Parts: sequence; C-alpha cells; structure tokens
Amino acid sequence: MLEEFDNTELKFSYKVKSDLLLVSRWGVIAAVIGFMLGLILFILFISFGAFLPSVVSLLVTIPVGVYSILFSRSLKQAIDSSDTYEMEHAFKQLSRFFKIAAAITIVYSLLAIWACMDIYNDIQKYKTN
Amino acid sequence: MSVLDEDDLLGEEKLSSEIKNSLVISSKWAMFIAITNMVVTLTLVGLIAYMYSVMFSRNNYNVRFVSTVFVPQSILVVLLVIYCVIMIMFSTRFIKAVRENNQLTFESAVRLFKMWMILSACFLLMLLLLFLYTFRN
Repeated sequence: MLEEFDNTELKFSYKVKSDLLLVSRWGVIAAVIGFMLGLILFILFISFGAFLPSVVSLLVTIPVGVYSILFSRSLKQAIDSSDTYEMEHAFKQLSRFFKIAAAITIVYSLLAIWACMDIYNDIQKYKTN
Repeated sequence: MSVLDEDDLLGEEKLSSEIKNSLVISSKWAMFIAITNMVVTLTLVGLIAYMYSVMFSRNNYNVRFVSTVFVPQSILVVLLVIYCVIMIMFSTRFIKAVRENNQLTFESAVRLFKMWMILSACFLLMLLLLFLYTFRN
C-alpha cells in the first residue's frame, strides 16, 4: 500500500545530485563486474558438469545487473536533464532492483538453511564415528 | 570530488511523493536483505567454525588450511558484515529523512548509499578475482 508523504522540504541539492551521479557510475561498474562474475561461475559450474548451479548463477546475476544498469541510466539522464519524471522512473527501477534482490536473498537463505542442517548432520556423524 | 558543474546548482528539484514512496519501499527491502544476509551468513560461518574445531580436536593443527581457507573466509565475512551494516544505516536514514522531511539526514543517507554502491563493486570484484584464481588452479 502506498503511503502519503508531505511534498515539502526534501530536495535534490547540489551535494545529493553529485553523490547520485557517482552512484549511477558505480552502479554500472558493479553491474558489469556482476555479469562477468555470473559468466565465470557459469563456465566454472559447466566445466564440473553441474548444470543446475550454472543456470542459477546466470539467473541471479542477470536480473540484478539489468536493473542496476536501468536504474543507473535513468538516474544519470534525470540529473543531466533535471527531469522529475525520469527521476521518478529511476527510483521505481531502484525499488524493483531491491525487490528482485530480496527474492534472491529468500532463495539463498533457504539453501543456506538446508546447508546448515547438512553440515550439522555431518558433524554429528563425525563425532559418533 | 565534484562531478557537477556550478550551473547545476540552480536546479534543486523537490522530491515528489512517488520518489519518496519508492525510496521507502527500497529502504524496507534493503533492510530485509541486510538483516537476512547477516543472520544467515553468521549462522553458516558459526557452524563451519564449529566443524573446524571438531576436526582440529582430532587431527593435527593444519597451518596451510588456516592460511588458505580460514583467513580468506574470515576476511570475506567481515566485509559482508560491514556491507550489511552500511545497508541498514542508509535504509534507516532514508526512512527517517522521508518521514521527518530532514534534508541533512537525506544527504547523509545518499552519501551512505554511494559508499554502499562503491563497496558493492569492490566486493563483486574481489569475488570475481577469487573465482578466477580458483578457476586457474
């Protein structure tokens, strides 16, 4: 549900715009490194014959990287042209980026819980032997 | 470092209601990601440390294992915790700034967000180098 906020006070000052421009630059850099990481993981897993992890590595890195680039590009355009609508679009992309990242975090957490249980069982077996 | 011309100082647009909404939603999700990541990673690391302690109690202390596995893992975990703490800090500040209409808090939140983005790139680069090193060997 959307909340109603006061439309006063907060503004994109010179400092904020300057910082946001750097955010847009580093967002693109992070996305490119993320793509490369996904590709390396894909090759690494494929070389070991693990098909599922290789697909998962691409499914994780591509959407996050794409939304990071979309956010960065919109943000840069909005600051360059002082366009409020473009700025709104950029921040909507940011919220989508975090939603996708949250979905990936939930999946990662479930896998980590499964790994924790597995490790705990291994320790118990090791102790009893 | 300044990345804008002085002319850009003239246009100081106000944050619209849509931008504030998107910021609050993003901050809430960011906080969820940070807390979940921190809890899950620390639990996993605690369990792995316990496993190492059980292994070392039976076998001899392995210096090579500690230097090649334990130390790099500990550095990664410390970096991840710092990363999550910064994420929580900028999220809470964004929410506080929007709710209280505080420009100073908003500026500090944006500064933290910038730091977080730079740290994300560095963190990913470190992981990339780590995997390249593993792939090469």
